[in-house]
Amino acid sequence: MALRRILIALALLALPAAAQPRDQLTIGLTQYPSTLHPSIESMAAKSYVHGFTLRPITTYDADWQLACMLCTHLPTIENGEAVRETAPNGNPGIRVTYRLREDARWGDGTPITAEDILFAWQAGREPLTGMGPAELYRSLHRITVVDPRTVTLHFDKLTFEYNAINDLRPLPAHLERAIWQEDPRGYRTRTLYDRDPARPGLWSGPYRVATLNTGASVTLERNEQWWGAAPAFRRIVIRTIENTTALEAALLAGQIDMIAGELGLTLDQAIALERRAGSRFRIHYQPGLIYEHIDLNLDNPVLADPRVREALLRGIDRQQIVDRLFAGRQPVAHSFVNPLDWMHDPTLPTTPFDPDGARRLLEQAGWRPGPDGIRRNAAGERLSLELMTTAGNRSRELVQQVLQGMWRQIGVEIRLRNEPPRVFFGETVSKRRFQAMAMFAWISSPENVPRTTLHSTEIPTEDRNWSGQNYTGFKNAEMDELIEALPLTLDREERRPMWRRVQEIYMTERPVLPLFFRSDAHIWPRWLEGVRPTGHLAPSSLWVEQWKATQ
Amino acid sequence: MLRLIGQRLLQGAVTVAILSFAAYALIGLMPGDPIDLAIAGDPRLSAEDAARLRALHGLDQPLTSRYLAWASGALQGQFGFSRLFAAPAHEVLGNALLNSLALLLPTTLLSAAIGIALGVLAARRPRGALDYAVNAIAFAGISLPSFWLGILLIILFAVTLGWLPAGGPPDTPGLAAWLRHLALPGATLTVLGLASYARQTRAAMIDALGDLYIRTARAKGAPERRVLLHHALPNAAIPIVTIAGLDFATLVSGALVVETVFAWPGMGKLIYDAILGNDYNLALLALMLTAIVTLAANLLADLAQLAIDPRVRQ
Amino acid sequence: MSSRALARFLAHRAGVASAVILLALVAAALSAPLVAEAIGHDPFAPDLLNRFLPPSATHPLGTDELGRDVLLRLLYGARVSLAVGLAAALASAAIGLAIGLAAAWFGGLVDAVLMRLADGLLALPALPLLIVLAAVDPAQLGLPRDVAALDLLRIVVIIAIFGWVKVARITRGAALAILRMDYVRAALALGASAPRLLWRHVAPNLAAHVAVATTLTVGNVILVESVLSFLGLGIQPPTPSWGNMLANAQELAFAAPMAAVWPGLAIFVTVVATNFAGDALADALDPRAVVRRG
Repeated sequence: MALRRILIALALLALPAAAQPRDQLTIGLTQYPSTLHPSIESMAAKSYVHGFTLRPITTYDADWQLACMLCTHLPTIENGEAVRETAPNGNPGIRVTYRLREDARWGDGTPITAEDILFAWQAGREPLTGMGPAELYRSLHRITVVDPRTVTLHFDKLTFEYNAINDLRPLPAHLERAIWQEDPRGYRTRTLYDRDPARPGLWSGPYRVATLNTGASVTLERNEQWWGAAPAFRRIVIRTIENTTALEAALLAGQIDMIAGELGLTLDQAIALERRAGSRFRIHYQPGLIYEHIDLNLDNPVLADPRVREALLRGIDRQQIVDRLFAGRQPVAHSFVNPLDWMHDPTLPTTPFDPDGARRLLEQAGWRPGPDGIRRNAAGERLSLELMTTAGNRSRELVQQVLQGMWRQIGVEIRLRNEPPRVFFGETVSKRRFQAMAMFAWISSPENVPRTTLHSTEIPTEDRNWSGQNYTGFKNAEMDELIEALPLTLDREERRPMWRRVQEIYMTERPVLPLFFRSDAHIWPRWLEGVRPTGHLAPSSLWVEQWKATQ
Repeated sequence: MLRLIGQRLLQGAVTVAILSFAAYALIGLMPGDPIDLAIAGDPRLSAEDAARLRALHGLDQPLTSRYLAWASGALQGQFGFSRLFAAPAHEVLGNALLNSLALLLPTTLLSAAIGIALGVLAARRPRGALDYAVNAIAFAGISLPSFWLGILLIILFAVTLGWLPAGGPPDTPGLAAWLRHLALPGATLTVLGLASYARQTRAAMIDALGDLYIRTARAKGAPERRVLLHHALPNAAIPIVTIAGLDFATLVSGALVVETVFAWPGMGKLIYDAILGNDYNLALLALMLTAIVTLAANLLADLAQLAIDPRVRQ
Repeated sequence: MSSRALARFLAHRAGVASAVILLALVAAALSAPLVAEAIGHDPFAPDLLNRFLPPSATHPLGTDELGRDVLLRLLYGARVSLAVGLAAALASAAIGLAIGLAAAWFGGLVDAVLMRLADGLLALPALPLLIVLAAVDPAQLGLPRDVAALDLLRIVVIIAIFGWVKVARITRGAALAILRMDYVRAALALGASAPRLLWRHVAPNLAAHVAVATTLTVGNVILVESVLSFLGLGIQPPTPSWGNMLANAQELAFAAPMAAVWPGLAIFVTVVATNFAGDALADALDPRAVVRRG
């Protein structure tokens, strides 16, 4: 009898979740959000937490369309709420009028008003505040408050994204303005978002931050003032486990219910997990806007020859890499434009895997096979190139070694040299110190104009204080013109042929060897429904009120 | 004795001062800074933004003047603000230190107790069966990479058997929850730490047992137990105490791998993140703390030697 | 080693067995290219069609995540791991011995400075130094861009910089004790020169301590290299080392657990063997061993 009682007690201990209704969701992430302030520094973990707890005015949704969250509807030129005007500096500008939802309010019941947008803008404009990207605050030169719920924003530049203000996050002026005014320079250390994050008035999403356990977890509770559909879970715990093996273990041990794909397992871990425990979890692979590629240093005399660049691309079987290493779960890239983006043009000819063609091209370029199987030119130099990437990224290291083997087959020697990320990005790539090839990824947003990466004025040089991200050193007058014209072309159909031409130049000039678009592996329990990953920078948590437990 | 302590304290202060500059300079010498990294991760950040942020964080100042500013603040008890965790550095550190101590104090005691016991047992009959067994245990502990042992324990006890949590501090307060969450990282650290205690104890005990006075004690017919515990062990304690002091100090900052595998937000992880993130205030404060603990542990170890072994006192 | 010491070493059965194992490992590592020739695989050429093969006649230990022969990678890894372990341990021992002796011999200010330096180093973070060294471009130093050798050197330098402390403390302690012994004082009084005294009387007495510390270090270094690989700062691909093989395997701990068993086993056997061999060595070199047994 006693034994049985003990057994029952043990059984209850082992299965605490089964007895109760699911009112808590525990999510595993590989990063801890450093600050919780909406405008200071951007990092993926923070934007994931903010997805639950804050609502932006506009955002791109899971269909990559611009959508309103705090506003009632999108202002457009067509509906007359966006009007072109000439900015004070003489540029073509635009004024856009947003109307905030009547029911939008902070977690302490204070309505979200024009005042909150005004304060966010004022704080962001002030250099002493130390906000990250300031482009938005610069181009937004004036705000007129029409009424407490309506604001008109005046921009001194005109782009087809004129009504996307995803980065202009309202700040609770009733709590934060006094702190900021007192000492703008010290604001970042004194903001309530970090000093007292449990203050309900700081939050505007379906959830609010309840407790923080620095470095370990963030606990969210339902925001009682939330105006939309009530979310399914009473509490959400976001737990940080940086080591992906440990993260997987926590999932298998039942300590966490799901792993957010935005910051989760590596793709091959997820694929392996699906093979072994596919019945316990639902695994969703979301291809996205993370573009893995190899930048070629066009100043390298070997790579300056377009035939060599084409041969390098023809020499690698990217489809095989994707199929074998990633179970076909991420698409091969043929240019920087993701196939999911509307401007992707599938009719353009792509460069296939064609080792014979590659060899022919190298012969034409004067590289003939040497005694050790590596090609040499007339001067007797070996065709030997250095391929660098971030040390410690296992996925990249695997791809790198496979590429090395494939290029060996066409007589190109590849030397691998990897550096810790901060050295690689901080010095080697950003100052164009890589000798031949640098493998890394770009993260972008939908319909992103590649100005910083492809415009000839964006080549980093010492004179320009190393600004710009055109690390290949690509110069093409037609590309420059297109990049300048694209943002100013407001009509989508007019942009389509321009985008086609951009892709065409990119795919024939080959300043970059495209590899693939990375996929995020989202791992959900079988009982969780309604999560829709986006594949771009907006986290799936922005639509948490659609998440449901099915038991 | 007091003079010696005073001398050592003075030396310690000088060491800490020099160390703080060395650490500051080392962090500063690392190529790339967090703003470079931020640009790589955030396409919206322009070069002007980067220059502005650099100036704002004082990163455009020369290293020495930044160090002096930090040092004068630190001397007045102003340890500054952690850039990474957006909180005063001492608050961030306090949390991590508590987590670390919760993990390290029990495990150090446990591994020392088990290790010393094993070492004494092994030293009783060198190359006996027991000695080989103890050696085998010790070597097994030494030979396992910490992350591997940790993952094996997680697979066995958390994933396969489901008895214990895989990692992280508990969500709920209470001793039981803490013990459950401490079990696996604690076991890992104990196994890893025990080996060195067992080996050192064994070597020191064999040494001590070979000494003349032990043979005298044995000749006088003292029981073996007494010989071991009252005559040999106190003598063997010198190297053991030295090692213990050093080990604990290095553990405070060196449990990085175990903390990473078990998602335990302790000092090792904190220092690692702070250094990689160029969070000078946090990194320096943490490093100074471990430096002081290390120096203090060494001082105590040396004093313990003095107390135990009068020969050193001359 | 004198014949008496050799005899004592040979009497330590586990030590002898370990020495044989270590020699066999070194021989296997040196013969890696021959084995590659014999088996007929290239351990550096990926083969995506043959990933994670189980052991078979063609691949005695199966293949890894890129379809390369695990046995060959282990053998090539042995070269790197053993070289790093040995070089770093010897470098630490040499530095530690020199500094420990200097501290004990000169005493006073020298002693204080050296020992506080030792204390301080323990508290200094190795990590930024590693990253600084990782950023060193060999071409700018006029070195060939032979990356594997540079990785190796970087790790040896780091471990030696931080690794001498233990040896130095042990040396200093032991040397102080020896210098106080009557026979040493007598030798001093008789006008023995300092180097001769240190070499003849102190060094032999230290040998046992240092041998134990050094052998422990060899194993430790191999482990440190694996931890560095775990942090992404170890030996870089495509060069295999036991450490980076193990670190890579941990990410697939659940999917392909066998991938971690072989490098893990290799590390385990090597560390155990170096320890037993060190033990035997300590016994053999301990001048008091005869007294004890007699």
